[in-house]
Amino acid sequence: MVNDANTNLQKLPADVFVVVPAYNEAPRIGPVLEGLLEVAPTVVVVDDGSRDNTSEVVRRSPVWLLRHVVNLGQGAAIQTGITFALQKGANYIATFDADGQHEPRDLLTMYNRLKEVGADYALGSRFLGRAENMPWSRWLMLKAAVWFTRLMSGIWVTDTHNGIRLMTRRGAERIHITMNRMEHASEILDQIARSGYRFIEVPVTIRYSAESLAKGQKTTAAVRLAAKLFAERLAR
Amino acid sequence: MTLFQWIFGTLCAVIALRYLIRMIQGDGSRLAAIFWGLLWAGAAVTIFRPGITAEIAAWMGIGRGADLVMYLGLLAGIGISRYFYSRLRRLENAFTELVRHIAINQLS
Repeated sequence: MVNDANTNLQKLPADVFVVVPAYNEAPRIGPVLEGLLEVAPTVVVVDDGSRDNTSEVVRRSPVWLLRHVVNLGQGAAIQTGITFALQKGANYIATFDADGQHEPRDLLTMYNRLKEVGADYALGSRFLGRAENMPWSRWLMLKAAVWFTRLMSGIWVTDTHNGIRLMTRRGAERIHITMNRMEHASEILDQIARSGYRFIEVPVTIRYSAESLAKGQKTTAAVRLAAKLFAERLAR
Repeated sequence: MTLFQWIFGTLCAVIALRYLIRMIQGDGSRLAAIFWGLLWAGAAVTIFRPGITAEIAAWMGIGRGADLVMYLGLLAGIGISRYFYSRLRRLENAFTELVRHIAINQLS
C-alpha cells in the first residue's frame, strides 16, 4: 500500500524529468503542458521535426525544448529526451504522450508505487486501469501486440504500447532506443527484460478522442511494425 | 555451342576477368573482388558446361542441378538482404545520433 505521505504528494520533485515527444501537436500540446506542469515541474519536450508551429506553442511554457531538425519518429524523440535528462542529472525519467491521452496525475501514482516497491520501471497499463472511448479495433490490436511481445520478448505485461512510463536513473541508463518509430515500445520492453531490473505495472487512464485516434497507430501499421520487429530479430 | 552460350557465357567470363584484374591491381576491396569474380566465373562455367551443376548436385546428394542453383541463389539472397539491412540500420542509427547531437547541443 502507498503510505499517507506519498498519497498526499501533489507535485513530483524537480529531479523527475518528464519527456514529451511531439510531432505536429500545435493544436493540442498547449493544454497538455498546462495540465502536466501542475504535477511535474521539469518537463522536456522533444519537437520531432514538426511542420506546424509546435515549437512556438511549447516556448510559451516553462519547459525545456529540444528540436530534431528532421522528423525521425517517436522512439528517436524519446531517446533524445532521455539522453538529455540523464545529462542534466535526472534521478527519474518519465515519458508522456503529447496528444492529451494521458492523465498527468497518473505520474504521481507511478512515482509513489515505484518508490514504494523499489522497482526501476513503472509501466502504465490501460487494461489494469481505464481506457475511455477505445474502439474495438484498437482493443484487438493492442491485445495482439501484448501476445506478440510475450512471444518475442518473454516479458509478461498487460499493455505493451502505453506511452506513459516512469523509470529510475539506473533503469534509464539501460535503455537505448534504436528503433525510431513505433517499434520503440516493444524495444523498450525488450531492454527492460534484458536488464533484469524489476518492473511494475500501474493502472492508468487513457482517453481516446477523434484527434488522438486519427494521429495514433493505425491497425495496418501494426502489421508493418510486427514485420520490422521480426526483421530486427533476424538481423541481430 | 548455342548462341546463348556464346553471348552470355562470354559476357560472364569478361566480367569475371575484370574482377580478376581489379584484384591484381589492388583496386577496391580484395574480398569483394574475389567474391564477385568467383560468382561471375561460376556463372560462365555453368553456361558453357550446363551439365556441371547436375554433376555437383548429384555429388552433394541433391536431385537436380537446377535445384542446387536455386538453393544457392536463395541462400545468397538471404545473405545479401541481411547485409544490406544491417548497413541500412547502421546508417539510420548514425543519422539519428547526428540529429540528436544537434538537438541537444543547440539547447546547450
